Amino acid sequence: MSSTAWLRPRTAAEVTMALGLPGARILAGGTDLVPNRTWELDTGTTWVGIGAVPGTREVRCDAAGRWEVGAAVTLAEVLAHPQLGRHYPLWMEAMRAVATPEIRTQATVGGNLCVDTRCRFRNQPPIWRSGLIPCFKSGGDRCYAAPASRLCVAMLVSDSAPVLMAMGAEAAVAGPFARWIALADLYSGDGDRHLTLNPGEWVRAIRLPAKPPLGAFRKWRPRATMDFPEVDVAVSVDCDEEPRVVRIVVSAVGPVPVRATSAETLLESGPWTSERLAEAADRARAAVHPYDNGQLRVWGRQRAVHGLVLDALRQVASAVVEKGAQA
Amino acid sequence: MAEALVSVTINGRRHALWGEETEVLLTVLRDRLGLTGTKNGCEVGHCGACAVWVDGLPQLACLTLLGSVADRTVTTVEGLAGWWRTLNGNDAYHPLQTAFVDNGAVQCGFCTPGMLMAGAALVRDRPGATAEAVRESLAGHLCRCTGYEQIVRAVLDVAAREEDPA
Amino acid sequence: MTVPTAERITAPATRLAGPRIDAWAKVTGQALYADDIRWPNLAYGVLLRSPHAHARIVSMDLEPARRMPGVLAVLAGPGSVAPYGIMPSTQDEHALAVNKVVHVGEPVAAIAAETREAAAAAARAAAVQYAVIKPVLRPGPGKGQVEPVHPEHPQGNLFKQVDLEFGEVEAAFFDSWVREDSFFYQGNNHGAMEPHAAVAYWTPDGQVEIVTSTQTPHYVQRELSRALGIPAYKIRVRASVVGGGFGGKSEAFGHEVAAVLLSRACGRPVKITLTREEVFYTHRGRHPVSMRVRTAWNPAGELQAMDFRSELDGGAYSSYGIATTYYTGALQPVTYRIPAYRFHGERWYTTKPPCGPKRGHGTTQPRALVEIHLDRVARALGLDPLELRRRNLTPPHSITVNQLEVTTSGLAECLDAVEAMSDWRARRLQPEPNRGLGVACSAYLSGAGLPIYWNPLPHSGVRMAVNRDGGVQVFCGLTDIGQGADTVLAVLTAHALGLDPARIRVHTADTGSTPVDLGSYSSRVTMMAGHAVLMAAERMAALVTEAVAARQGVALGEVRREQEGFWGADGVIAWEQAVQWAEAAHGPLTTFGGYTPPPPIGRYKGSGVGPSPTYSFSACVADVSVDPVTGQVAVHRLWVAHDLGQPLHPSLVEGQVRGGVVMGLGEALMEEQAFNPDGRHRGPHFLGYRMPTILDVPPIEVALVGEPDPRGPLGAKEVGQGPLNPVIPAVLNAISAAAGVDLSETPATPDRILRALKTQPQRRTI
Repeated sequence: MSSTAWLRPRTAAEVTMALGLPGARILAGGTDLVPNRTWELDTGTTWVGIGAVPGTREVRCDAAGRWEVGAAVTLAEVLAHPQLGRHYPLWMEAMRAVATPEIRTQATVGGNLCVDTRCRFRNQPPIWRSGLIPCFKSGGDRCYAAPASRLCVAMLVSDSAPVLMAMGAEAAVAGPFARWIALADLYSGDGDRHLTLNPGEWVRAIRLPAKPPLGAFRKWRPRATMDFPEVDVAVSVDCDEEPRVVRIVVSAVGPVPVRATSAETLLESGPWTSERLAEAADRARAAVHPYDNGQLRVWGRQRAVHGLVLDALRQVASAVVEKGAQA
Repeated sequence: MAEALVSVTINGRRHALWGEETEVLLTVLRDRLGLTGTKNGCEVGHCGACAVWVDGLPQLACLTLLGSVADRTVTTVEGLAGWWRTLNGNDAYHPLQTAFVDNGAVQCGFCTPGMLMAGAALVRDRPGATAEAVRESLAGHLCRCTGYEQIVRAVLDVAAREEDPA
Repeated sequence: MTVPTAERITAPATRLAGPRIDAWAKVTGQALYADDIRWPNLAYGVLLRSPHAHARIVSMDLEPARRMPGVLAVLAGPGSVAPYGIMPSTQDEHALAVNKVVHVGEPVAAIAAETREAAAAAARAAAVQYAVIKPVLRPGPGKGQVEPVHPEHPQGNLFKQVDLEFGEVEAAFFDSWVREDSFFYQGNNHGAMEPHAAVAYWTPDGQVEIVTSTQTPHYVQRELSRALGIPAYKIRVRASVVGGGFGGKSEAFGHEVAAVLLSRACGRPVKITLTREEVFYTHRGRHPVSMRVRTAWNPAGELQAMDFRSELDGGAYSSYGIATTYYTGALQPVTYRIPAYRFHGERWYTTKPPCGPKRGHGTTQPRALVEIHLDRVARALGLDPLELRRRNLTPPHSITVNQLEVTTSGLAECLDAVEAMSDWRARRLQPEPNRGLGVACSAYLSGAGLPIYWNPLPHSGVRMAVNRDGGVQVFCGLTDIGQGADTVLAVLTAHALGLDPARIRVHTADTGSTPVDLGSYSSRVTMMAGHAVLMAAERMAALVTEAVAARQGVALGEVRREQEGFWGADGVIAWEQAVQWAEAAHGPLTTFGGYTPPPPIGRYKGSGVGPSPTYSFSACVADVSVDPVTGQVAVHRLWVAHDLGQPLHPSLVEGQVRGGVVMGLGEALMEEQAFNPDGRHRGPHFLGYRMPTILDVPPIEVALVGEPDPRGPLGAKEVGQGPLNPVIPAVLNAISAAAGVDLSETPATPDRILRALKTQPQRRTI
C-alpha cells in the first residue's frame, strides 16, 4: 500500500492550501474514503482533515432562526442534538436512513453531502476491476453503465442531499472566495467530478431554513438498513408562499439529484386531488432516467420512482390538511 | 511524513505505536498486536464483525484510522471483561458475555465480538432498552448462524438487569 | 385449536444440556479461526486470480513478481500434480489454471512473501496476458458460443444428464387433470461470516501440516494427497475454529493446495486468507436451476404422477455436481406420496464460479417449485392449500416410489402446528388488503446414506479414552462449523456414561489424531457421530462396570450407579476409583465406536443419492404484505414446525432452526449470485450480495414436533438444513396471495415484484 499523508490544518485557509497538494482529498469521517482506498478505488496520497478548523464541528442557530451545522459534525451528533430533531424532522429521517449506527458515529454531515458517487461498474473490489479497460471515473474513456454517454453517470447516493434540496438548504463553500450556494448548485452532473467546487474549495457547513417546509422522504432499497439507496425521493411543500412552493427531488438515479419541475408546476396551484397527485407522480417518473448501475434492476428503479413520489406526496398532502386543521 | 508515533490505550494498556497514521485499526490490532478477537469479515464496513470501542463508542476497526485513535482509548472483545472488572471491582466477566453463553447467542462465533461490543455499549448507555432499541443498535452486524433472536434475548437480558440491579 | 405434540420453544432455551462447550472461547476472543493462527516464521500467501470469465492464458511473466521486496516464492500453474475434485469420477480442478481460465477469480499463480501486503504488491507486478473468449453464461447447447468451457470434455458443456422413471408415468398423465409450472431459482452464496483461510507447513522431513477452515478434514486430506502426489498418511489436516460453513467449505480448494506448495517452496509455514471478494469466486454455493414440473391429479385432489425437469447452471467445475443434480430429483417423493415419478436432470458447465452444496443441497430449488406449484393446483381445484397437502403426505414407515425408506414422519403434525400457530383459517377468511399467507412443507435427509467415494467403512468413528484422573477424552473426526457438533459429542458422552459434562474433553477434526468422520455435510454428524460415540461409551461403561463387579464380587447385573459413581458394599465408589480398577484390570482404557448407515434398498443407477437412515420434516407458514406502490415485501411473521425426532440440545436446535429459517428468508427475498454479461459478479461483497440484517428478520415462532426415531441416536433426526427449505416457497406463496401475482423466479426483490405487478393481471380472490 502506498503511503498516505494525513494533514490536519487548523484554519480554512490552510485547508484550501493543502487541497492544492497533488492527490489531495478531504478526509471527513472516512467511512467512504477508507474502504475506497482498501479496494484501491481511491489512490489519493494526501488526506486533508477539516475537523480542526474552527466552526466545522459546531451546531448553532443564527439571529434569523436558521440553524447552521458544521461539515465535520457527525450524523450521530446530529441525530442526538436536542434542537435539530424538533426543527428538521425530515432531515432526521434521512440521517437515520444512512448506513448503520457505527457508521453514523463516524460519518459527517459534509461527508454525506459530498460522498463520492457510486456505480455498479466501478465500486467493486480489486480483482473484479483488474481486467476492465478503465471507465471515465477510473481515468479511462468509456462508460459501462451508459455506453453512449460522454460523461460518467455514477450515482449520487447521499440521502441528505435530496432532503436538504427539498428543504431549500444552503451550503457554505470555503476556499479562495467563500460563498453560500443553494444545495442544488453543489452537484455538477458529471459522476466523475460530481461536485461543482473549484480547486481549493470545500464545504464548511450547511444552513437550514428557519421555517422548513412540510415534507416527506422515501428511501428505496432492498434491505431495511445498511444499503445505499436505489432510489431516494424527497418532497416538500411550503403553503405559506403564494403560489405554494413545491419541491420534488429524485435522487440516486444519476450523478445529481433531479428536480421534477413539471410535476412541481402541476401541484403549485389547484387542488391536490388523488388524480392530480398521480399525474404528478407520472410526470416525476418521466423526468427521471436511471442508468443500470445500481444493484436492483433498472426497470424496477424507474418504476419505483412513480410509487415513491406518489407515496411521499400523499403523506405531504395529509400533513398539509392536518396542519390546516390545527391552524 | 506519513508515519508517526501514535500513543493509544488499548484494553487498559498504553501502547506507543510507530506507523502509518492512515493504517486501519483492524490490521493494527490483528496483525501488529495479535489481538485477533476482532474479526475481519469484509474489510470495508459491510458486516460489523470488527466493531471495537473508541472512547467507549462502537466503531468499525476497518474504517478507523490509527491516527484517529491517538491519545484515545480502544477496547476490544479481549478487553471487555477487564473494563467491566475495573468498573465494578470484581472478577466477573462482562454480564453480556455470560448472557451470550447462556442464551445460545453464540454459534460459529465470528460475528460475536462485534455483536458484544455493540451490545455492551447499548446496555451501558441505555439500561432497560427495548427490543426495538436493541435491534436498531445491532443493525450493522450481520450474523449468518443464529437468526439474531438469541442475540437480542441476551442483550435484553442484561439490559433489564442493568436497569434494575436488584 | 391447540398444538398437538408441539413443544414450543420459549425464551430462554432450557439450559438442561448446558451451554456450548466452545462458547466461552468465542465470547472472550480466545477462539482461533484460521486467520487468527500465527506460527513461528509465518509467511503470507496471495493468489493471483483471473480477471476474465473465459480466456486463454497467452503468456505469464512472473519475474517482476519474484523481484518485488519481501517475496519468498512464486508459483505458476498447475501446482497440483493431478486434477482433483471431491467426486472421484469428476476430478477436473487444478490449484492454478494452466492454459485457460474459466471464471473470474480463478487462481493462476501463487505468491508467498514476508507480509500479505508484499505478496499482494507482487501479485500486481506479475504480467499475465489473456486472450479473452466469449463467456458461457447460460446452461444449454449455447448458440454462437466460440469455445466450450472445457474443450476436452466429451459432451461439450453438458456436465451430466440423468433420467429416472418409477411407476406408470405416461398412463397417469393420460387420464388425469394435469397442471404444469416452471420456475427459475437463482443461485446464491453461503455467506459464512468467516472468509476461508488456511495455514500450511511442509515440514523439512516432508510431512504436511495444514490447519484450515473446513467442514471436511478427511476429504481435504484425500484431495490434498491426490493434488500433491504424496501418501495421505503424510498429510495432517486439522480444522480451525470454523466461522460458518453451510456447505461452502466442504471440499479442497486451490488456496489450500497453494498454501502447501508455497510452504514447500519457501521452507516456511504459509497462510492464505481469502478476501470477501475471493470467497464469492470460490463459491460452491446454491446452483441456479431452471425447473419445470408437471403433475397429474385425480378428482379427490390426490397426486397421481409427477414429471420433474431441472437444468442446473453448474459454473466452471464439477464440485459435488453429480450429487447436486440427483438431489434436485431425489426427495420429491419423500414429502408427498407420488405413485409415478419421472425425473430428468442436467447440469451444465458455464464460465462462472463453480456451484456446489449449500444448506439444503440441491433439494431447496425443486422444493420451491413443487410448493409453489401445489398452491396453484389448490387454487385451480378450489382447495385450501393446507388441505391439498394433507391429502398427499408420504405416510410414515413407507417406501417411496424411488425406493427411499421413510421411517417416522411428523409432517402431518408439522402442518397441524403451523396451522394452529398461525391461526391459518381465521386469517385466510379475513384477509387484509395486500396481505397474504403462504404455506409449504419439506423433508430432508439425516445424513447421506453413502459416502462421497465408495467404501464399506464406517462413516463415523469414535475413540474414547478414560484416564485414571476420571476424565473422558473423546476423539472423533467430526468438525464443528458453528452448529455445535463438539457440544453434541460431549453431551452424548456425558449422558451415556452418566457423568458431569465437565469431565468430557473432545478432540475433533484432526486427521492426525482422530478416527475418520466424513465431515459436516448432509446433516449427518449428530446421526452418525452420535451413534458412534454412544457405542464407544456403552463399551466404556461396560469395562468400568465389569471392574466394579469383579472388585465387589457381585454379578454384573447387581452393580448400581450412584451419581457419577457406584454403590459398593462399603459405601459409594467414586468414578475415579472405578476407573482405576478398570485400568488395573485391562490396561489403559480405550474403546471404539463406529457407525455405518443401513444399506439403501434402491438398486438403480442414481440410487445412491437420496437414501438416509431417516428423514426430518418441516412446514412453514409466512404472513407477508406487499406494498403495490414500492414493490417492497414486509414479512410480518413466520411460523415453522420441524420434526427432528428427539431434540438432544434445545439451545443448539433452536439455533439451527432459526438460522436456517433466516437464511431461507434471505434466499426468498434478496440474495442472488448474479452476473453481468461479461461474466463478472454483480456485486461480490456484502452490499452487492445482500443478506438479511437484524431489521429484516420478523418474529419467528418455532414448534418442534414428532416422535423419537428408532434409527436416530437417542431418537434424534436432523435439524441443520431441513428448516430452511419450506421458508422460501412459504414466503413466495404468501407474496402471491398478497399481491395477486405470481413470481417466476427468486429472489423476490422489489424490482421483480414491480415488474410482475406491471405485466400480470392481478387476481382478486385468494
